Amino acid sequence: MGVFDFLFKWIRSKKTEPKFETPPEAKAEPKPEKKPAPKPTPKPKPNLKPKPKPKPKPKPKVEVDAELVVGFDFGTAFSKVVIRDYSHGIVGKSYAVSFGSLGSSMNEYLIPARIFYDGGNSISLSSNSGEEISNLKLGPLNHQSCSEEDDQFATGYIALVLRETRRWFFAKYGDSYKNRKIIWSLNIGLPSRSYEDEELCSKFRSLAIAGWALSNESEPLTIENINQKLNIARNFLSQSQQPRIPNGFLHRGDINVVPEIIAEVVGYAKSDLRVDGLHMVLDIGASTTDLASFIIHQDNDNLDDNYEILTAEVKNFGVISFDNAKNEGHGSFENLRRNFYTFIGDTNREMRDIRCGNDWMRGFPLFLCGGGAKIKFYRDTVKTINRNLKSTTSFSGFNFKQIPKPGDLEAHAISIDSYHRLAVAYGLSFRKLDIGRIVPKSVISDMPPPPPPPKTRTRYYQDKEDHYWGT
Amino acid sequence: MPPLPLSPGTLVRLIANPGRTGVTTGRSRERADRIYWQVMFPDGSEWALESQIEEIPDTEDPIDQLETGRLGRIIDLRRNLTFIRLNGQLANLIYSMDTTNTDFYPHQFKPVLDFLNSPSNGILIADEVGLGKTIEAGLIWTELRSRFDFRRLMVLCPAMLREKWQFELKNKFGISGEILDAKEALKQFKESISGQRNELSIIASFQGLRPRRGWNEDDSDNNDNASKLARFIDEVAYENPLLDLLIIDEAHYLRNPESMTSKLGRLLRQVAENITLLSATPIQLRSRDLYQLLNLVDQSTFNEPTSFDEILQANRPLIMARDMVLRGWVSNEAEGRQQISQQDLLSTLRDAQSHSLLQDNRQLKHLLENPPTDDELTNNEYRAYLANRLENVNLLGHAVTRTRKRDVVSLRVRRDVIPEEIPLSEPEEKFYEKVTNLVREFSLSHGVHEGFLLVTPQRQMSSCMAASLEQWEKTRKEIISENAYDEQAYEDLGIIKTPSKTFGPLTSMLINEASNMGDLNELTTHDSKFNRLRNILRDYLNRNPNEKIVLFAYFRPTLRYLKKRLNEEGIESITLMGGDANKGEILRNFQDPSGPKVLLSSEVASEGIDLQFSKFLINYDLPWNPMKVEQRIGRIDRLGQDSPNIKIWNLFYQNTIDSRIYTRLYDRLRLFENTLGDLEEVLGDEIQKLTSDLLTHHLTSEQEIERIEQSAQAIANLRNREEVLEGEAGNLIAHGDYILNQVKASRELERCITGEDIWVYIKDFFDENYTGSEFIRVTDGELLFDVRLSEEAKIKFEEFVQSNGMLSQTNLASTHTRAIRCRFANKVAGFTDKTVEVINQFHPLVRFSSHKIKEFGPSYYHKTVGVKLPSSELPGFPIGVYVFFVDLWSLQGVRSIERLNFVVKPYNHGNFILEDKAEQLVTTTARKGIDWIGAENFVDIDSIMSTANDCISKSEEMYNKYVQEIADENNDRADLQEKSIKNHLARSLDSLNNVLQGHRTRGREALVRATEGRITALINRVDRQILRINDGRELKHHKLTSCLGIISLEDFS
Repeated sequence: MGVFDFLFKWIRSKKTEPKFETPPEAKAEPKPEKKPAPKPTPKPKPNLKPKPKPKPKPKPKVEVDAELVVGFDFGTAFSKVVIRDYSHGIVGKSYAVSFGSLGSSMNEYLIPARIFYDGGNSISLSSNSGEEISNLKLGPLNHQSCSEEDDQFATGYIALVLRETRRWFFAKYGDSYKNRKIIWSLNIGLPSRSYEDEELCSKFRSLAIAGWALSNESEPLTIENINQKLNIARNFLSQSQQPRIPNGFLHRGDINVVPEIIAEVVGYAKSDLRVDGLHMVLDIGASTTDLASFIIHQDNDNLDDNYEILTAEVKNFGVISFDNAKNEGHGSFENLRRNFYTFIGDTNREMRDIRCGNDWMRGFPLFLCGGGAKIKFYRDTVKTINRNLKSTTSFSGFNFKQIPKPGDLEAHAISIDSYHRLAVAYGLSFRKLDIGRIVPKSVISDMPPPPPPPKTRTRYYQDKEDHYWGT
Repeated sequence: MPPLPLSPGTLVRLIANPGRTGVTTGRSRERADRIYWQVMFPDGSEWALESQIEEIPDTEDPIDQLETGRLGRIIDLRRNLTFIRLNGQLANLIYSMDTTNTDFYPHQFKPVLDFLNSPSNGILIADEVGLGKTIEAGLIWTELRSRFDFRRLMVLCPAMLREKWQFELKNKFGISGEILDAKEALKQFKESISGQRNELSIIASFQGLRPRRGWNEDDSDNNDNASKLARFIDEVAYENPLLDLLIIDEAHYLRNPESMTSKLGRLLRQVAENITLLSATPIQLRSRDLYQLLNLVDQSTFNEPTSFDEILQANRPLIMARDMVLRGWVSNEAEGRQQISQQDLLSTLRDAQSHSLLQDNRQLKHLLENPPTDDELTNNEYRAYLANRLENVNLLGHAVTRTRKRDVVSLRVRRDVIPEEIPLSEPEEKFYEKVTNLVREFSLSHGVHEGFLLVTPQRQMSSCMAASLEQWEKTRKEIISENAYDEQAYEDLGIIKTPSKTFGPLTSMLINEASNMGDLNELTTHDSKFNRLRNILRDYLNRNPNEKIVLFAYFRPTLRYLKKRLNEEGIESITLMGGDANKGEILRNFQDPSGPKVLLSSEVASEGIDLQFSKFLINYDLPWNPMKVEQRIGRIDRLGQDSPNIKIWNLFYQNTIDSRIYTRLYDRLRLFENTLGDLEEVLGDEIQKLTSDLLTHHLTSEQEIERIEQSAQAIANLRNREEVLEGEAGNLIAHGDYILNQVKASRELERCITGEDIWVYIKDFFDENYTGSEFIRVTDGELLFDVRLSEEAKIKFEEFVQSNGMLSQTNLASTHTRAIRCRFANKVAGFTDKTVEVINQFHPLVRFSSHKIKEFGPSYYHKTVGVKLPSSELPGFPIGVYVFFVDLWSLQGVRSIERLNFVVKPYNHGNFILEDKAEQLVTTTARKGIDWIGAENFVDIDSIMSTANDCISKSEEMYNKYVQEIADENNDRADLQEKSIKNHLARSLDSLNNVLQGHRTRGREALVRATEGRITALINRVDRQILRINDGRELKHHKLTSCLGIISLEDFS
């Protein structure tokens, strides 16, 4: 890094401008002796510079290509989309897509994960006619029970959402891009566990790329043309060498899947709250709870971020389970608590075991996210676990953190409480290149442990837990 | 397009965000047939598409950037402005505003601005009581610290006020003052000279520091610490100053040049670079007192009483001209009101020029040679600017500042006065008569000159009969120290006198006769005044159970007596008397809602305390000096009094001298309803005469009445005269309205630096220059960080901090590896968490960064921007696109001036927008604006360029005019300073030569040589100063483009 310091300094010194200009003649005049009458005010010399040499013709204005990355958070109940414009740099400018009347009534940035199929041919997002098909994500995720239809519906949905996205974006910001070439890319999120499954990743990529291609067309969507595109997509992705890019398709390198749990923390990793090392993310959703742990560290050579996923589990309880337990009574509560407690405890133990040793003992940041994070029951349980672990083991405790709100995201209509719902989409709006290298769990055990980070960044301070519980 | 030859280390920037510059690392990646280059930016590395970056051209000025659409963002605009503000000494920025823990009252900044403009390195603040002079002095010090990094402060005040100063300095200004006696002060001065100590924050009292008479003579009796201190100061007087700022509170105590207090003041003045005098007491403008004080501020300029009158006279036509200009019209007998014309102005100015003091004044000359046109005079803004220039013609006007309560709108409290005449009970009548006669006889037999001697017993009885008797009875066996009477006299009349030798006999006489005067029990039972008081209190407290009541009495035994008796009545009270060690605690106790309901305070104790949380005041006795009464009322009638009216209950005995004085004097002059204004000087004399007459002559009641009437009339006349003089005061003391408007404008324009500004500034600097420094945010949304500087940064920072003596101010330079928690906030006081370091504009880290940046030069940030502002932030501004141009003007003459000049012009058509309005648009945008992505697509570059060039030419034009004006002012200032310092030299040489002679005659060789050495040192120093002044006559000036660009004001609703 030293050379860059030097370079910076050199550059700064080049840019030095001249200091005070004393009019050249003034210096020669000797100061007159004391005389009774006051000296006349010397007329200040006008600020004459020597006539400047003719300036080189200024460079013509260059039209910069616009690199737009679409982060698509395909959720179980709702999807969210964030678009990032890379011309201003990595944390430059990003926009949350508003779906207007198609979006949820509570939050226009959320679009329900469902489509309407009239049995005949057309698929649409609005409920004019046809049967409602929801849970679009679950089908494709499930290897065994997945059908062709599941894949087609999912693709259709993706296409429709992307159409809406583009329509909204150009209506709002089209003017800024009118003379520029746009380079698109798309990132789509996948549950962390699924990320290890190469086949699944591949499948989702093909869904995404087909969806993208369809979104470029304006004809109504039918099962037929969806199927057609899907086939082309599968073929496209399976080729070993660089294939020719079919019309309306993106380059293969521009369609990526990213584990959701990582996407959720990318915003944090790029902020000034970031520290390297172990992290845990606990996402309590409507019906499931996602718990993952990973190590973030920056590669010394190429300076990329590396995420090594240590554990990733999903359990079937969440906000709804809590509501149900309320109705069912004390026994259910206890059950729920126990399950939750065990979940975290087991994971924590696993982390310790995966050759984490000292790093684990020092304690690490824990992000508590999702709708369920606000429920006192869950929060208290986590606090209890923390306390118990600290007193019964050499564990120093969790360091509770919140995902920071990014300064560059335009999402005018969203309230502070609801920001967290866009966190995954926000993270997905970073180029895969910038997110970094993601090493899935299964690969970890084969790898040597990461070298200790060069900077002493892994100091943790124990804040009072309550400090981060917010509102 | 061919690929860029991006070898490692090429300086590049993002085309669409040109403020973001970095260096290529040489690494590249291919993704999807595209090449990405890795660029190292200050805050980390990123990958960028080839087409998104470009090499930074060698020569490119902001205009080029505008033309090629290299427009930066909001953050670039903000950084530019912050950098200049933090590093500069902008003339129109008040650095102390909004950084202190004080409420904002615009009038409190007037002295700051006056001080900066004063040619005398000093100022006399002569505000009326209760307007916050302490705050004003604190603000001046904060301003000086900010601009010049001053570190050596001393506050000199009456002993009673030391704690108050310590508290205010700490609590409002973040300064830890130390209360020192003479010995400790001397020690610290010596440490300061030897370099062991870099900072001084001394609070000391007149009483503690003033030397004995004969302190500088060969007298073995002057080895007390104060005299040692005085000698030390005298010795170093001709060398470098010991203090950066000396504040003298209650400076009216120094008005007698023969008193040792005054001599102390003068001694200290000699070793202080700057001085601020605070004087509440009235100024009778032609009196010697005002002259004495101004002489203390600047001995060489205000060196004769008559020079004062001259200044007043010279100013008169100038002030007339100023007022005429401000009004905008002149009154003509024939035609009534008429628009002011150039002719009107010229003739008044010629009048001014005819005075010898202004004959050579260049600014005046220039105005006469280049007068404004009639047209220009119709413009309000122009006239306001011209009025300000007229005020500056005579620079001496800035040496005194005065605000009166009636001028401060927020301070209009109504006083409800209730006089309560209390008939004497029989025992009381008898007692009163007996004692009065005794005293009169005694005084006659001892001569009438010791007026105050006589006052005391008489006044004691008027205060409280029972307590008086008790006092005389009690002390029968004790010896009354001289000090007790000394203090009582001070309590009564505010006289600091050395003890007199005649107290003894009077006291003895009274004590002896005590048993014959009356019966204590009877007096207590039939204490008519107390009974009345009790009823008043009960009644009030029943109706207002949560209120606090303040009661004053000048006789201490009265207070003790009242406490005891109120206690018996179940009313909780607390006493406050001069000499109480824990004054602060007593007051806090009183203020506490669960604390005592009544404060029983003596006169002296009341000085300088703030009781505006109470709105009920009882004068249990009445001083004969109305100024004292005014002081009492001033405790609750002051800034911060929330109630629109306050109650003042006055108790006095019927059919006594007191009642006659009350009805004839006070009531007649309506001395309670309205503030007195500042009349103490005249009143003091008059009252003393009255007192003396009333007590030493056997007058009948009718005669008493007549005599009092005489006084009343005399005072009324004096007051009228005072009003007239006050009117003329405008002749000397700057009008202030223009300044007040400047202050308010400053605040509205938010010409201040926020915590966020400082954070961005520091972060940028360290990212650029000391990568590896960590700033880890603790909580999202707060400017709280755990900071760890890189090794290199620590080394450099430590060097800087050591050499500037700032080690004690920060932990960031320590060799520990732990992180230091810091909060970025531009406040000097008001934080309770001691473990968090506050980084404000004074913090060593900011100073260090600024120091380094100055070494690099000013072109740090990208200067051309394209930004947007929601129109709701600036109602009154038409929607549209504006082109703006800001540059920094730096002028260096006898003093340095910097100024940010703003020029704005609407993009399509329209007139220039200048000065405050232009500044408002740009600074509001910097604060509240947002990025304008793709701005270059929405405007026609050619039109933009032509508008931009118009702005630049306009700015050039304004610059030249400004430089000319300042050049004149600069020379006038240099003339004044040169004259003043030559005066100073002559005077000092005189005095030193006398000393030299003295030593020679006494054959003290060593001392002769020493004194000769001092003379040489003095002459050398003055020579250097004159050289510097002459050097400063030639105004060096320079302007630098600060930023420019386009702003789109849009409706976002």
